[in-house]
Amino acid sequence: MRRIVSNISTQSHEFKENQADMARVLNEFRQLQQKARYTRPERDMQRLNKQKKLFVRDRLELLLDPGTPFLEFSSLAAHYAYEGTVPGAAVVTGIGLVSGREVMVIAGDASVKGGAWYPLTVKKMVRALDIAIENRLPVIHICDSAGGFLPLQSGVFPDRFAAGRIFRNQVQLSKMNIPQIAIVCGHCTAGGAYVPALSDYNIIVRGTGAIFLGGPPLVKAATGEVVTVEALGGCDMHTTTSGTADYPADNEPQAFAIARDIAAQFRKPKKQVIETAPVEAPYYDPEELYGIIPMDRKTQYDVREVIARIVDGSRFHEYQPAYGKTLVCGYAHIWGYKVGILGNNGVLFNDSAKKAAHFIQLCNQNKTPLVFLQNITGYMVGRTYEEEGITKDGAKMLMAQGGSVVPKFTVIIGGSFGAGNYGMCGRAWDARVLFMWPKAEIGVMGAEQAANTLVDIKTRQMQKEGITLSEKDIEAIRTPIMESYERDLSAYYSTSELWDDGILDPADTRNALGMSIACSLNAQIDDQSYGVFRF
Amino acid sequence: MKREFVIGSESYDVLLNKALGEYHLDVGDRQLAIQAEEIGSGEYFIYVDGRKQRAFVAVDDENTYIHMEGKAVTIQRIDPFEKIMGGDGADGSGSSLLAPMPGTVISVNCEPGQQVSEGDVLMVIESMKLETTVAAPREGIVEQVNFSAGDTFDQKALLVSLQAEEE
Repeated sequence: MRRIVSNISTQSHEFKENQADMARVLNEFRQLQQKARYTRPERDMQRLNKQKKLFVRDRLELLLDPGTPFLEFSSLAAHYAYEGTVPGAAVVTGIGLVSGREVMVIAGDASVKGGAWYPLTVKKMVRALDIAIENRLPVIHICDSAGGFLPLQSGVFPDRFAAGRIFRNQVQLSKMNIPQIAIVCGHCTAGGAYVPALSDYNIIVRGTGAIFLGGPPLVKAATGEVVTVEALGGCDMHTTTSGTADYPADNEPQAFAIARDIAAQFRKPKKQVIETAPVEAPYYDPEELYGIIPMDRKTQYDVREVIARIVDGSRFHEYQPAYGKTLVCGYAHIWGYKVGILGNNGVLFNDSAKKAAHFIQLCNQNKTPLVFLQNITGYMVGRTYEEEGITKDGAKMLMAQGGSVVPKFTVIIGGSFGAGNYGMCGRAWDARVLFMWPKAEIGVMGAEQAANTLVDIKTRQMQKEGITLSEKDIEAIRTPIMESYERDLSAYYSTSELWDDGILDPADTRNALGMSIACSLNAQIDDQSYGVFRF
Repeated sequence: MKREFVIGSESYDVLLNKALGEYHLDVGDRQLAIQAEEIGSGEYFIYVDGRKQRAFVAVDDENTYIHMEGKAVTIQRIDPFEKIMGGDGADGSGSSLLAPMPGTVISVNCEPGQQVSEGDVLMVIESMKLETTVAAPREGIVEQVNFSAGDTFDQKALLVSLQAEEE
């Protein structure tokens, strides 16, 4: 495999300008992330302290193998929701190592509204369980929740992918012979009580942990019975009498030590074998991406420059280098794992869509995981292209991509607009993980296009009534659209709504993908099968 | 593909063969029996046709450095695939810059008669919400600029041309 030859000058004015802009963006991103992870109102931290409960981040320290990576998902979930009062959607999810096993951790954050489940909390938990199912990852639940956030119960409870899905997914995991551990550090009330009850192993902390369908106030209201928390659902009752909980623990450190010892009993799964090569660091420094990503998202740049800073040795075997040049396809290795990469170099044309379909089929046949690097404004429009069958060629690409059996990984590195999002394995298309770079944008169309379209419609409407809009009138239409669109298209809005699994520092992309690919191989790759291609 | 090694300015085609558990080095018409025994970190006894010599070896991305019999030798290893493929695969010879798709000219950054270098931005175009730079594929002199800022063009329209290269 040959090394990509970079055409970037790290000394150029443009590079330095891009780099400075990215430094500003990343600085903001890191501050937001730091805040969402660690900054809490003083009184909430004091309350935890008084209850002798640890902060969720300290619990993770106790659980995870020291010095090993933790791939955290959606650290900025709910960033724009609930007036910004629910950092990280009040739950931490991610893949880490416990006693040498790759596990999914789902940890309620009781420092935010007592760990109450908001609609986005539930969405984040369900997504984490979906990732566990797809990648056959054991799950460790750290339970500490006041229950559903009652003012928003309609968004928490009834729908197909609402809270019930958490328990449904737990049942699926169990059926699939994927173990789960629950560590009950706080209350598990009502539906939340099923999290430990549906786990294979659970541990309950004496004095703070409790499991019950209805807490003491609800019991009193329902039947008049007066009962204490400990008697109703505490550690000793459940571990000696009901058998709902398995292991009593005197305190949290002991509970996490027991959990680690249980995980050490898990069978180590046999991983799917794919092609590998000795690991080689990229020849080009991944931090050079900061100077390569243009300040203006609209500016076209060569995706090979990105590939060169993600893959082993910056080596890339390009498939069909002269055909369908707006889509770059080829083989490379990431942390030694052979992957097929598809990266956008412009709009998708008939030839680029057909090339994609062909390359995806090759990868499915030789069991090569797929990596999509999305920077796409869409498929080409216009009479010529429709006559050439751009719609059916796009459908071929969807049929191949959507019908893939190999694991898929998507990073939105630039724009993700319209149908291009579908072809390039957007959220609806079951990428094992989907990350965004901080300057990426996602939507039906860009802010400017939307503003122009709406101004155009309004202008024609008014013309019919004989009124010509002044510059000022036009600005009055444009400005609010531009502003709301810019927010709604941003990576922060996407990640707030959990349309992705988190925002990545571009230089971390290689590591995030490497870990995701390693985890994906816990699930065997099926034999290929497809729907009907329209030729 | 035979591997190629360069010592000083001289290039050698060398082939390492293994037969009946023994290694042979084919250098040109000569065939040498060869054996290496590692005796320390980077330190070897090398046997060439039965003659034993002590050598220190260090390897980096492109070169192998050998210190033997009081002499230091740098051997440059040429990847035959790399050598055959040459260049970066880019087509750097064209004179006509055609529109990859229909669109609008955002800016014109050159004029006829201007001397340009490879990679210089000649024009910026926009199509399908993307700005693309039209860059010089090679060094040359601008012959024609067929559009001005704000103009629209069709796919495969000739945007800019460079004067033909002299033989």
